[in-house]
Amino acid sequence: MNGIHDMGGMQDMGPLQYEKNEPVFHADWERRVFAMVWATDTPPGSRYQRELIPPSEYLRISYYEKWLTAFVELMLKHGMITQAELETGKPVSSTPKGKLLTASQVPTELTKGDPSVRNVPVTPRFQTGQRVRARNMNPVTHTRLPRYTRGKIGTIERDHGVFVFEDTQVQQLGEKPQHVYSVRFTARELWGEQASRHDSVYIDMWDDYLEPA
Amino acid sequence: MATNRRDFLTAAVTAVGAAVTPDLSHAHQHDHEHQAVPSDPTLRVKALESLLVEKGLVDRSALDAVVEAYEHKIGPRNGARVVAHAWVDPAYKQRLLTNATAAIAELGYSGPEGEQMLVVENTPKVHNLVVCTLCSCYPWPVLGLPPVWYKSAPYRSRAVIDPRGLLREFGLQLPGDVELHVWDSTAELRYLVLPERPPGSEGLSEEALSGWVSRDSMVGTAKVVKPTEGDRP
Repeated sequence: MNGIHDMGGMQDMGPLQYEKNEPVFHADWERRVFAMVWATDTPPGSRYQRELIPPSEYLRISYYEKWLTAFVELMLKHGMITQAELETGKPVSSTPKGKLLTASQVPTELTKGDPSVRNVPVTPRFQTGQRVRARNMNPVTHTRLPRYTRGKIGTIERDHGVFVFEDTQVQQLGEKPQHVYSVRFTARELWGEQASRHDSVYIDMWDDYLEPA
Repeated sequence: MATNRRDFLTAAVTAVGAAVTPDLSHAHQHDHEHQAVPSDPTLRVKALESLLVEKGLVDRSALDAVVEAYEHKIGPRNGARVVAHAWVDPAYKQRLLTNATAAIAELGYSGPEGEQMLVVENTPKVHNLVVCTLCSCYPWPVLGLPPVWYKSAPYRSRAVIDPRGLLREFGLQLPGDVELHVWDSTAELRYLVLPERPPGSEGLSEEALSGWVSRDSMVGTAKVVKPTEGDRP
Protein backbone atom coordinates (compact mmCIF):
# COMPACT_ATOMS: atom_id res chain seq x y z
CA MET A 1 0.00 0.00 0.00
CA ASN A 2 1.34 3.42 -0.93
CA GLY A 3 0.72 4.72 2.57
CA ILE A 4 2.22 7.43 4.74
CA HIS A 5 4.34 4.77 6.49
CA ASP A 6 6.43 4.41 3.32
CA MET A 7 8.61 7.39 4.16
CA GLY A 8 11.93 6.71 2.48
CA GLY A 9 12.98 9.71 0.40
CA MET A 10 10.29 12.12 1.60
CA GLN A 11 11.51 15.63 2.37
CA ASP A 12 10.64 18.41 4.78
CA MET A 13 9.62 16.14 7.65
CA GLY A 14 11.33 18.51 10.08
CA PRO A 15 14.46 18.34 12.19
CA LEU A 16 15.54 15.31 14.11
CA GLN A 17 14.15 15.24 17.67
CA TYR A 18 16.97 13.78 19.73
CA GLU A 19 16.45 13.18 23.42
CA LYS A 20 19.60 12.69 25.45
CA ASN A 21 19.53 9.79 27.92
CA GLU A 22 16.11 8.80 26.63
CA PRO A 23 14.14 6.41 28.87
CA VAL A 24 12.85 3.13 27.40
CA PHE A 25 9.26 4.26 27.99
CA HIS A 26 7.91 7.76 28.54
CA ALA A 27 4.75 6.82 30.46
CA ASP A 28 3.38 3.84 32.31
CA TRP A 29 0.67 3.25 29.71
CA GLU A 30 3.40 2.81 27.09
CA ARG A 31 4.86 -0.02 29.18
CA ARG A 32 1.48 -1.74 29.34
CA VAL A 33 0.74 -1.30 25.61
CA PHE A 34 4.12 -2.67 24.64
CA ALA A 35 3.74 -5.66 26.96
CA MET A 36 0.16 -6.41 25.90
CA VAL A 37 1.09 -6.39 22.22
CA TRP A 38 4.15 -8.52 23.01
CA ALA A 39 2.28 -11.07 25.10
CA THR A 40 -1.06 -11.42 23.32
CA ASP A 41 -1.48 -14.27 20.89
CA THR A 42 -2.74 -12.24 17.92
CA PRO A 43 -2.49 -13.50 14.34
CA PRO A 44 0.19 -11.88 12.12
CA GLY A 45 -0.66 -8.41 10.88
CA SER A 46 0.15 -5.90 13.65
CA ARG A 47 2.49 -4.01 11.39
CA TYR A 48 0.01 -3.87 8.50
CA GLN A 49 -2.68 -2.72 10.91
CA ARG A 50 -0.46 0.23 11.90
CA GLU A 51 -0.01 1.07 8.22
CA LEU A 52 -3.81 1.30 7.92
CA ILE A 53 -4.02 4.19 10.39
CA PRO A 54 -5.20 7.21 8.36
CA PRO A 55 -2.25 9.40 7.24
CA SER A 56 -3.14 12.51 9.26
CA GLU A 57 -3.53 10.37 12.38
CA TYR A 58 -0.36 8.43 11.63
CA LEU A 59 1.68 11.62 11.61
CA ARG A 60 -0.05 13.15 14.63
CA ILE A 61 -0.15 10.37 17.20
CA SER A 62 2.80 8.89 19.08
CA TYR A 63 4.44 5.57 18.39
CA TYR A 64 2.73 3.65 21.19
CA GLU A 65 -0.61 5.27 20.36
CA LYS A 66 -0.19 3.67 16.92
CA TRP A 67 0.51 0.37 18.63
CA LEU A 68 -2.58 0.73 20.81
CA THR A 69 -4.88 1.67 17.92
CA ALA A 70 -3.62 -1.15 15.70
CA PHE A 71 -3.71 -3.70 18.53
CA VAL A 72 -7.37 -3.01 19.27
CA GLU A 73 -8.28 -3.06 15.57
CA LEU A 74 -6.47 -6.35 15.02
CA MET A 75 -8.19 -8.03 17.96
CA LEU A 76 -11.58 -6.78 16.77
CA LYS A 77 -10.87 -7.97 13.25
CA HIS A 78 -10.08 -11.48 14.46
CA GLY A 79 -12.91 -11.67 16.97
CA MET A 80 -10.63 -11.80 19.99
CA ILE A 81 -12.65 -9.00 21.52
CA THR A 82 -15.95 -7.43 20.46
CA GLN A 83 -17.16 -3.87 20.23
CA ALA A 84 -19.68 -4.60 22.97
CA GLU A 85 -16.91 -5.75 25.26
CA LEU A 86 -14.96 -2.58 24.58
CA GLU A 87 -18.02 -0.49 25.34
CA THR A 88 -18.93 -2.18 28.60
CA GLY A 89 -15.52 -3.44 29.72
CA LYS A 90 -17.21 -6.77 30.51
CA PRO A 91 -16.34 -9.98 28.71
CA VAL A 92 -19.23 -11.48 26.74
CA SER A 93 -17.53 -14.70 25.81
CA SER A 94 -15.43 -16.47 28.40
CA THR A 95 -13.58 -18.70 25.95
CA PRO A 96 -10.39 -16.87 25.07
CA LYS A 97 -9.39 -16.87 21.43
CA GLY A 98 -5.66 -17.34 21.65
CA LYS A 99 -3.14 -18.90 24.03
CA LEU A 100 -2.49 -17.25 27.39
CA LEU A 101 1.16 -16.48 28.05
CA THR A 102 1.98 -16.99 31.72
CA ALA A 103 4.76 -15.24 33.65
CA SER A 104 6.71 -18.49 33.91
CA GLN A 105 6.77 -18.79 30.10
CA VAL A 106 8.10 -15.25 29.57
CA PRO A 107 11.84 -16.00 30.07
CA THR A 108 11.76 -18.67 27.35
CA GLU A 109 9.77 -16.49 24.97
CA LEU A 110 12.22 -13.64 25.51
CA THR A 111 15.04 -15.73 24.09
CA LYS A 112 13.04 -17.61 21.44
CA GLY A 113 11.44 -15.14 19.08
CA ASP A 114 9.54 -16.12 15.97
CA PRO A 115 11.94 -16.99 13.15
CA SER A 116 10.68 -16.40 9.63
CA VAL A 117 13.41 -18.46 7.98
CA ARG A 118 12.01 -21.66 6.45
CA ASN A 119 14.10 -24.74 5.92
CA VAL A 120 12.46 -25.79 2.66
CA PRO A 121 14.08 -26.29 -0.73
CA VAL A 122 13.23 -23.38 -3.02
CA THR A 123 15.25 -22.60 -6.12
CA PRO A 124 16.60 -19.04 -6.11
CA ARG A 125 15.69 -17.07 -9.23
CA PHE A 126 18.76 -14.83 -8.95
CA GLN A 127 22.47 -15.22 -8.31
CA THR A 128 24.93 -13.08 -6.37
CA GLY A 129 26.35 -10.37 -8.62
CA GLN A 130 23.33 -10.35 -10.92
CA ARG A 131 21.72 -7.06 -11.96
CA VAL A 132 18.05 -6.89 -11.08
CA ARG A 133 15.20 -4.43 -11.29
CA ALA A 134 12.79 -3.88 -8.41
CA ARG A 135 9.37 -4.46 -9.96
CA ASN A 136 7.10 -1.54 -10.55
CA MET A 137 4.11 -2.69 -8.57
CA ASN A 138 1.59 -0.92 -6.37
CA PRO A 139 -0.28 -3.45 -4.25
CA VAL A 140 -3.03 -1.99 -2.08
CA THR A 141 -2.19 -4.45 0.68
CA HIS A 142 0.90 -4.96 2.85
CA THR A 143 4.26 -4.96 1.11
CA ARG A 144 7.88 -4.52 2.16
CA LEU A 145 8.91 -3.09 -1.19
CA PRO A 146 9.47 0.64 -0.58
CA ARG A 147 8.20 3.00 -3.28
CA TYR A 148 11.56 4.66 -3.72
CA THR A 149 13.11 1.47 -5.09
CA ARG A 150 10.39 0.49 -7.59
CA GLY A 151 11.64 0.37 -11.16
CA LYS A 152 15.24 0.93 -10.01
CA ILE A 153 18.18 -1.27 -10.93
CA GLY A 154 20.35 -2.86 -8.28
CA THR A 155 22.79 -5.71 -7.75
CA ILE A 156 22.29 -8.90 -5.75
CA GLU A 157 24.97 -8.79 -3.06
CA ARG A 158 23.96 -11.80 -0.99
CA ASP A 159 21.35 -14.54 -0.80
CA HIS A 160 19.96 -14.70 2.76
CA GLY A 161 18.08 -17.96 2.20
CA VAL A 162 14.39 -18.79 2.28
CA PHE A 163 11.92 -16.68 4.28
CA VAL A 164 8.18 -16.43 4.80
CA PHE A 165 6.74 -13.90 2.33
CA GLU A 166 5.11 -11.24 4.48
CA ASP A 167 2.94 -9.87 1.67
CA THR A 168 0.88 -13.07 1.49
CA GLN A 169 1.27 -14.14 5.12
CA VAL A 170 -0.41 -10.97 6.39
CA GLN A 171 -3.39 -11.55 4.10
CA GLN A 172 -3.75 -15.12 5.40
CA LEU A 173 -2.81 -16.33 1.91
CA GLY A 174 -0.03 -18.60 3.15
CA GLU A 175 3.68 -18.34 3.76
CA LYS A 176 4.82 -18.66 0.12
CA PRO A 177 8.45 -19.21 1.24
CA GLN A 178 11.05 -17.76 -1.12
CA HIS A 179 14.59 -16.42 -1.25
CA VAL A 180 15.43 -13.02 0.20
CA TYR A 181 18.43 -11.18 -1.19
CA SER A 182 20.43 -8.20 -0.10
CA VAL A 183 20.12 -5.86 -3.08
CA ARG A 184 22.45 -2.88 -3.44
CA PHE A 185 21.19 0.28 -5.14
CA THR A 186 23.59 3.13 -5.76
CA ALA A 187 22.38 6.44 -4.35
CA ARG A 188 22.66 7.90 -7.86
CA GLU A 189 20.36 5.23 -9.30
CA LEU A 190 17.80 6.08 -6.63
CA TRP A 191 18.13 9.87 -6.42
CA GLY A 192 20.03 11.07 -9.46
CA GLU A 193 23.18 13.09 -9.86
CA GLN A 194 22.70 15.10 -6.68
CA ALA A 195 23.58 12.01 -4.64
CA SER A 196 27.13 11.11 -3.64
CA ARG A 197 28.76 8.52 -5.88
CA HIS A 198 30.11 6.92 -2.69
CA ASP A 199 26.70 6.13 -1.24
CA SER A 200 24.47 3.08 -1.62
CA VAL A 201 21.32 1.70 -0.06
CA TYR A 202 21.06 -2.01 0.72
CA ILE A 203 17.59 -3.52 1.00
CA ASP A 204 16.49 -7.08 1.66
CA MET A 205 14.08 -8.12 -1.06
CA TRP A 206 11.97 -11.18 -1.63
CA ASP A 207 12.22 -13.01 -4.96
CA ASP A 208 8.73 -11.80 -5.97
CA TYR A 209 9.91 -8.16 -5.85
CA LEU A 210 12.57 -8.64 -8.50
CA GLU A 211 12.98 -9.16 -12.22
CA PRO A 212 16.14 -9.57 -14.32
CA ALA A 213 17.62 -6.30 -15.60
CA MET B 1 -14.42 5.05 8.03
CA ALA B 2 -11.27 4.21 9.92
CA THR B 3 -11.34 7.61 11.60
CA ASN B 4 -14.91 7.01 12.67
CA ARG B 5 -13.91 3.66 13.97
CA ARG B 6 -11.16 5.27 16.00
CA ASP B 7 -13.49 7.89 17.45
CA PHE B 8 -15.81 5.11 18.37
CA LEU B 9 -13.02 3.18 20.05
CA THR B 10 -11.89 6.22 21.98
CA ALA B 11 -15.40 6.80 23.23
CA ALA B 12 -15.96 3.14 23.95
CA VAL B 13 -12.78 2.60 25.85
CA THR B 14 -13.37 5.81 27.75
CA ALA B 15 -16.70 4.43 28.82
CA VAL B 16 -14.85 1.48 30.24
CA GLY B 17 -12.41 3.85 31.89
CA ALA B 18 -15.33 5.80 33.34
CA ALA B 19 -16.52 2.68 35.10
CA VAL B 20 -13.36 2.64 37.17
CA THR B 21 -13.18 6.42 37.60
CA PRO B 22 -16.33 7.76 39.31
CA ASP B 23 -15.49 11.45 38.78
CA LEU B 24 -15.16 11.06 35.05
CA SER B 25 -18.35 8.99 34.86
CA HIS B 26 -20.20 11.73 36.71
CA ALA B 27 -18.91 14.48 34.43
CA HIS B 28 -19.82 12.41 31.40
CA GLN B 29 -23.44 11.93 32.51
CA HIS B 30 -23.98 15.65 32.82
CA ASP B 31 -22.48 16.88 29.62
CA HIS B 32 -22.41 14.68 26.59
CA GLU B 33 -21.15 17.46 24.36
CA HIS B 34 -18.20 17.96 26.61
CA GLN B 35 -15.06 16.15 25.54
CA ALA B 36 -14.71 13.88 28.53
CA VAL B 37 -12.15 11.77 26.69
CA PRO B 38 -8.80 12.25 28.36
CA SER B 39 -6.10 13.00 25.83
CA ASP B 40 -3.84 10.87 27.99
CA PRO B 41 -4.35 7.24 26.98
CA THR B 42 -3.79 6.09 30.56
CA LEU B 43 -7.44 5.23 31.20
CA ARG B 44 -8.00 3.60 27.84
CA VAL B 45 -5.02 1.34 28.39
CA LYS B 46 -6.02 0.44 31.96
CA ALA B 47 -9.49 -0.48 30.76
CA LEU B 48 -8.19 -2.53 27.89
CA GLU B 49 -5.77 -4.40 30.12
CA SER B 50 -8.55 -5.24 32.58
CA LEU B 51 -10.74 -6.52 29.76
CA LEU B 52 -7.98 -8.71 28.34
CA VAL B 53 -7.15 -10.09 31.78
CA GLU B 54 -10.81 -10.91 32.40
CA LYS B 55 -11.04 -12.59 29.01
CA GLY B 56 -8.01 -14.71 29.78
CA LEU B 57 -5.98 -13.23 26.93
CA VAL B 58 -3.22 -11.72 29.06
CA ASP B 59 -1.74 -12.41 32.47
CA ARG B 60 -0.76 -9.30 34.46
CA SER B 61 2.36 -10.84 35.95
CA ALA B 62 3.49 -11.88 32.47
CA LEU B 63 3.14 -8.25 31.35
CA ASP B 64 5.17 -7.14 34.37
CA ALA B 65 7.90 -9.61 33.45
CA VAL B 66 8.01 -8.36 29.85
CA VAL B 67 8.31 -4.73 30.95
CA GLU B 68 10.99 -5.60 33.48
CA ALA B 69 13.05 -7.41 30.84
CA TYR B 70 12.93 -4.63 28.24
CA GLU B 71 13.50 -1.88 30.79
CA HIS B 72 16.36 -3.48 32.68
CA LYS B 73 17.89 -6.45 30.86
CA ILE B 74 17.53 -6.07 27.12
CA GLY B 75 19.32 -2.95 25.93
CA PRO B 76 22.37 -1.50 24.22
CA ARG B 77 24.74 -2.83 26.90
CA ASN B 78 24.19 -6.24 25.25
CA GLY B 79 25.28 -4.97 21.87
CA ALA B 80 28.23 -3.16 23.44
CA ARG B 81 29.46 -6.45 24.88
CA VAL B 82 29.20 -8.06 21.45
CA VAL B 83 31.22 -5.22 19.92
CA ALA B 84 33.89 -5.23 22.64
CA HIS B 85 34.26 -8.99 22.34
CA ALA B 86 34.70 -8.71 18.59
CA TRP B 87 37.39 -6.04 19.09
CA VAL B 88 39.51 -8.24 21.35
CA ASP B 89 38.88 -11.63 19.72
CA PRO B 90 39.54 -11.76 15.96
CA ALA B 91 38.10 -15.28 15.62
CA TYR B 92 34.86 -14.13 17.26
CA LYS B 93 34.74 -11.09 15.00
CA GLN B 94 35.01 -13.42 12.00
CA ARG B 95 32.12 -15.53 13.25
CA LEU B 96 30.13 -12.38 13.97
CA LEU B 97 30.56 -11.12 10.42
CA THR B 98 29.78 -14.47 8.80
CA ASN B 99 27.00 -15.81 11.07
CA ALA B 100 25.85 -12.98 13.30
CA THR B 101 22.80 -14.70 14.81
CA ALA B 102 24.86 -17.63 16.12
CA ALA B 103 27.79 -15.46 17.24
CA ILE B 104 25.48 -13.13 19.18
CA ALA B 105 23.76 -16.14 20.75
CA GLU B 106 27.20 -17.31 21.98
CA LEU B 107 27.10 -14.35 24.37
CA GLY B 108 23.56 -15.23 25.42
CA TYR B 109 21.55 -12.77 23.34
CA SER B 110 18.63 -13.89 21.19
CA GLY B 111 14.88 -13.40 20.90
CA PRO B 112 12.19 -11.36 19.17
CA GLU B 113 13.48 -8.94 16.52
CA GLY B 114 16.85 -10.68 16.57
CA GLU B 115 15.93 -13.99 14.94
CA GLN B 116 18.00 -13.25 11.81
CA MET B 117 20.88 -10.88 12.51
CA LEU B 118 23.51 -9.32 10.31
CA VAL B 119 26.52 -7.37 11.51
CA VAL B 120 28.10 -4.80 9.19
CA GLU B 121 31.59 -3.51 9.89
CA ASN B 122 32.76 0.08 9.81
CA THR B 123 36.29 0.64 8.51
CA PRO B 124 38.29 3.78 7.65
CA LYS B 125 36.81 3.48 4.12
CA VAL B 126 33.23 2.30 4.82
CA HIS B 127 30.58 3.68 7.17
CA ASN B 128 27.28 1.86 7.79
CA LEU B 129 23.96 3.34 8.83
CA VAL B 130 20.78 1.42 9.75
CA VAL B 131 17.19 2.56 9.22
CA CYS B 132 13.74 1.09 8.68
CA THR B 133 11.94 3.44 6.30
CA LEU B 134 8.64 1.51 6.45
CA CYS B 135 8.41 0.89 10.16
CA SER B 136 10.68 0.79 13.19
CA CYS B 137 12.61 -2.48 12.77
CA TYR B 138 15.51 -2.62 15.19
CA PRO B 139 17.61 -5.45 16.70
CA TRP B 140 15.96 -5.71 20.13
CA PRO B 141 18.12 -8.44 21.75
CA VAL B 142 21.30 -6.38 21.28
CA LEU B 143 20.01 -2.79 21.36
CA GLY B 144 16.71 -2.97 23.24
CA LEU B 145 13.72 -0.98 22.07
CA PRO B 146 14.41 1.82 19.59
CA PRO B 147 14.58 5.46 20.67
CA VAL B 148 11.87 7.86 19.51
CA TRP B 149 14.08 9.53 16.89
CA TYR B 150 14.77 6.20 15.18
CA LYS B 151 11.01 5.65 14.72
CA SER B 152 10.33 9.24 13.67
CA ALA B 153 9.44 10.63 10.26
CA PRO B 154 12.53 12.89 10.00
CA TYR B 155 14.92 9.97 10.47
CA ARG B 156 13.04 7.40 8.37
CA SER B 157 12.51 9.77 5.45
CA ARG B 158 16.01 11.23 5.25
CA ALA B 159 18.28 8.29 6.03
CA VAL B 160 18.06 7.00 2.47
CA ILE B 161 17.96 10.24 0.46
CA ASP B 162 20.19 12.52 2.56
CA PRO B 163 22.20 10.29 4.89
CA ARG B 164 25.20 12.62 5.05
CA GLY B 165 23.05 15.62 5.97
CA LEU B 166 21.28 13.51 8.58
CA LEU B 167 24.58 12.36 10.06
CA ARG B 168 25.72 15.99 10.28
CA GLU B 169 22.64 16.65 12.39
CA PHE B 170 23.92 13.91 14.72
CA GLY B 171 27.25 15.72 14.77
CA LEU B 172 29.01 13.24 12.51
CA GLN B 173 30.77 14.66 9.46
CA LEU B 174 31.86 11.87 7.12
CA PRO B 175 34.78 12.51 4.77
CA GLY B 176 33.50 12.80 1.19
CA ASP B 177 35.40 9.77 -0.07
CA VAL B 178 34.21 7.39 2.66
CA GLU B 179 31.68 4.93 1.25
CA LEU B 180 28.35 5.19 3.01
CA HIS B 181 26.21 2.06 3.13
CA VAL B 182 22.64 2.60 4.31
CA TRP B 183 20.81 -0.57 5.38
CA ASP B 184 17.04 -0.20 5.02
CA SER B 185 15.85 -3.12 7.17
CA THR B 186 12.36 -3.45 5.75
CA ALA B 187 12.36 -7.27 5.61
CA GLU B 188 13.09 -9.81 8.36
CA LEU B 189 16.81 -9.26 8.91
CA ARG B 190 17.99 -6.98 11.68
CA TYR B 191 21.26 -5.07 11.61
CA LEU B 192 23.97 -4.17 14.09
CA VAL B 193 26.86 -1.92 13.12
CA LEU B 194 30.30 -3.03 14.33
CA PRO B 195 31.96 0.37 14.90
CA GLU B 196 35.67 1.02 14.56
CA ARG B 197 37.70 0.60 17.70
CA PRO B 198 38.82 4.12 18.61
CA PRO B 199 42.35 5.33 19.18
CA GLY B 200 43.23 5.63 22.85
CA SER B 201 41.49 2.38 23.75
CA GLU B 202 44.62 0.23 23.59
CA GLY B 203 45.18 -1.96 26.59
CA LEU B 204 41.66 -1.61 27.95
CA SER B 205 39.87 -4.68 29.24
CA GLU B 206 36.91 -6.03 27.29
CA GLU B 207 34.58 -4.84 30.05
CA ALA B 208 36.04 -1.32 29.97
CA LEU B 209 35.87 -1.27 26.18
CA SER B 210 32.18 -2.15 26.20
CA GLY B 211 31.63 0.94 28.37
CA TRP B 212 32.84 3.07 25.48
CA VAL B 213 30.37 1.67 22.94
CA SER B 214 27.25 3.82 22.60
CA ARG B 215 23.89 2.77 21.25
CA ASP B 216 24.18 5.30 18.45
CA SER B 217 27.52 3.90 17.30
CA MET B 218 25.82 0.54 16.76
CA VAL B 219 23.10 2.16 14.62
CA GLY B 220 25.73 4.10 12.70
CA THR B 221 24.75 7.64 13.71
CA ALA B 222 27.93 8.10 15.76
CA LYS B 223 31.46 6.85 16.08
CA VAL B 224 32.89 5.36 19.24
CA VAL B 225 34.87 7.93 21.15
CA LYS B 226 36.45 8.01 24.58
CA PRO B 227 33.62 8.72 27.03
CA THR B 228 33.70 11.99 28.90
CA GLU B 229 32.71 12.40 32.54
CA GLY B 230 28.94 12.16 33.06
CA ASP B 231 28.16 10.60 29.70
CA ARG B 232 25.79 7.69 29.63
CA PRO B 233 26.36 5.54 26.56
